Amino acid sequence: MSTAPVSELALPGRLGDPERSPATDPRIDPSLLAALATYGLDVVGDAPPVDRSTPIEQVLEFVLGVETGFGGLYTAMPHDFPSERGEVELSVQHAPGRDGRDIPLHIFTPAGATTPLPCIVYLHGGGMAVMQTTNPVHQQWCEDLAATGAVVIAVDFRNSATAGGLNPFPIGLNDCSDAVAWIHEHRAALGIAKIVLQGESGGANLVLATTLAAKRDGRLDAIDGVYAMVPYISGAYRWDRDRKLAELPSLVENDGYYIDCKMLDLLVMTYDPTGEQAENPLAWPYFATVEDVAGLPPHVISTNELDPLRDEGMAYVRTLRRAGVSATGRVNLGLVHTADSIWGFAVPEVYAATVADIKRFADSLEGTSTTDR
Amino acid sequence: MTTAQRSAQSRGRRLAAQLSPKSVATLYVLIGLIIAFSLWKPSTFPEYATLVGILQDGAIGGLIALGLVVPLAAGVFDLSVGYMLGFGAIFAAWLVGNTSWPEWLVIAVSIAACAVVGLINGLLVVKARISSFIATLAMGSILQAGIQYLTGGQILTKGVDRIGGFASVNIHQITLAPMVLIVLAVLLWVLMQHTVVGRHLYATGLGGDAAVLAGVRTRQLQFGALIVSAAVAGLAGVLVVSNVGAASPDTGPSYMIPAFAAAFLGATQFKPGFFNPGGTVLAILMLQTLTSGLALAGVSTWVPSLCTGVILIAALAVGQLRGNQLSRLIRLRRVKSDSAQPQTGAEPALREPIGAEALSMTAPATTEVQDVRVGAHSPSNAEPEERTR
Repeated sequence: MSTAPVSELALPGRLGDPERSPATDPRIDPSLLAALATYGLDVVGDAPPVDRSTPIEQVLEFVLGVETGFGGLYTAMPHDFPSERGEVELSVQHAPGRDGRDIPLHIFTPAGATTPLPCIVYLHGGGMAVMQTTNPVHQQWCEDLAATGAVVIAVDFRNSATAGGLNPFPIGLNDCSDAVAWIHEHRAALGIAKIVLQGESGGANLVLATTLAAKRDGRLDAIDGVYAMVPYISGAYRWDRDRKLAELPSLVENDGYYIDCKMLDLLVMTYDPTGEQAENPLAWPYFATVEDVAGLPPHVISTNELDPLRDEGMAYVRTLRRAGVSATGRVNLGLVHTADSIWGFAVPEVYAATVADIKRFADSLEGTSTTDR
Repeated sequence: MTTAQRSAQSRGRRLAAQLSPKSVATLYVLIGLIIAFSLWKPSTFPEYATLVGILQDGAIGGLIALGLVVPLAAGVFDLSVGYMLGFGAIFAAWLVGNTSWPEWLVIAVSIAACAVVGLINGLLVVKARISSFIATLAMGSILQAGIQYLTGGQILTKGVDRIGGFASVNIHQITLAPMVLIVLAVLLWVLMQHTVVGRHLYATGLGGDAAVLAGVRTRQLQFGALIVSAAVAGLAGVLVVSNVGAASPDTGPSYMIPAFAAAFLGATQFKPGFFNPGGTVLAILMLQTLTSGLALAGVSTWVPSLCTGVILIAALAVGQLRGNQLSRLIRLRRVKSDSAQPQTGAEPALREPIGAEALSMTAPATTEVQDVRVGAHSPSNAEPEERTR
């Protein structure tokens, strides 16, 4: 990078000062910073001990260790907010998968619901590679969403990294597509009207990719709207610095803020071990063209200011708009990756606003009536 | 005192002797590690998932170590096991991606292919009389070339899910690899400690002269031992592929040092001075508990490698202090040997040592190579006049 004569400190994040971290970045929300510091996540951590040159079984072992770490963090976080929440009932059903495996669906319904409600199909984050549908944070998210007056269906898709080995692309995506198809077929029985796909991070990747796949398969009638939060959709985490700066500078600007590109690249390796899907929009929707997205239902894409993945989310909004798709773009100032949903205890106002906005979005959609099909 | 009482007492004494720190120090270290890590990381270490992880992660290295016990007991090294594992893994992954063979055939052919390479190792060591250290090291390089040829440097995933099914077999989350490890350990324990073949294997390792004089077919045993270590490495490779669902061209070598550490540490346990399956399994459990515990504790990543290296050296140092098989394999003795000098007991002809340097993986100087005598050499090679050749 050429050295600029003007003060580089004027540039945001690690573009201005490579030593910056959430602790020293003036943009960060102070209460989020305090929460991150509780878990030692306010500084940029060490690089992972493995990389692409490491044998895949050791990468898998490391990634499963990442899952254990995040799982412990999610369990340790406070879960006693917001204080008022309506009663929600949980049931589990199964959708048939194309390879013969039944896909568990965790269905959260507000108590006493009678009329058809909008349905939010939730796909959890974890880089399509790790994290469980049923951890306390995801569970609470689903309950809070359902309490606004929606049926929330969390799809227990297969992660790409499991103790039983790799499930590379498109195994998890197919699970999501098959689950959405089944939910669509059972709208009436499930008591649901409109279907919105929603997810954060890797879940947002699956949300966008499921929508792209539905278009290719002529099944877009199953999806009425898409709400993708802090999407992890470029797979570009091992690009060289110059290409990142030219295309997705937030990968440099916010690298190591809560998540870092080297770790993300290991998750990429479990999803696409050979690298042959690197520019396949179904694996990495960042590479979707205007033609790929034309005719898709309305989207909301939210990004966080201090997230390395901010710019890929923004780029997707631009692609959608160029194709004439209704697309709302949001930026949560001062937040790191997934703070708006996962770190809700630290920024409860943002969390509440996000939950309410998803319901508002679902209500705003034209939707299919429950009686059709 | 009745006979029953006496026999109970003697059983008790035997058990006490077997459990004495002198015999199974590693067991006490293992217990100490479990207590220490449980106190250090009470929220993560003392969990069932940690046990499953230790068994799973230790099983592959443990298999390699068990396979190594056989040639080591017979007095020959097999330094090709790391790449052998990699070759078995890649060959299996390549076969499922490029043929429509049934899974069982792919697995059988992959293991058989490794056994054939082990047979070539045997030919080089036993027939061509090349030092096992050098011959198997060179074979590792040739296997690496084969791996690169089959993969082109790329990870193989195509069709690998076909052989993934049997890896997901589990009992309370404990998968096939640890079960295979236990079965193999029991088989080897019976073979090595309760059969004539086992006694002859140890006799071969203890020294060619005495064994040959006693009518042991030392060369055949060393030949067979190298086939066993190769086939076991191939089996471990197939298990890696089926566990992971993909095969990396660089899989393999990283398993070798821990496996040697386990085999040598194991040779200080239960039957001190003799390579034995029980000690090896105990050693791999201890080493893996240490590695996994340190990883959970979040120490820097160089620490586990350092610990493994230090333990290997410590095992060699302890082994040197004791007589018999282990010391003769690791100590670089003076080559001069007076065969007329009276020898005692089980150590009549302990004079084919291999340099401890060999284990540090640095290439030994040429002069040392000439000095090094491995058990693979026929008894005639071990004659004093031959040694100065």
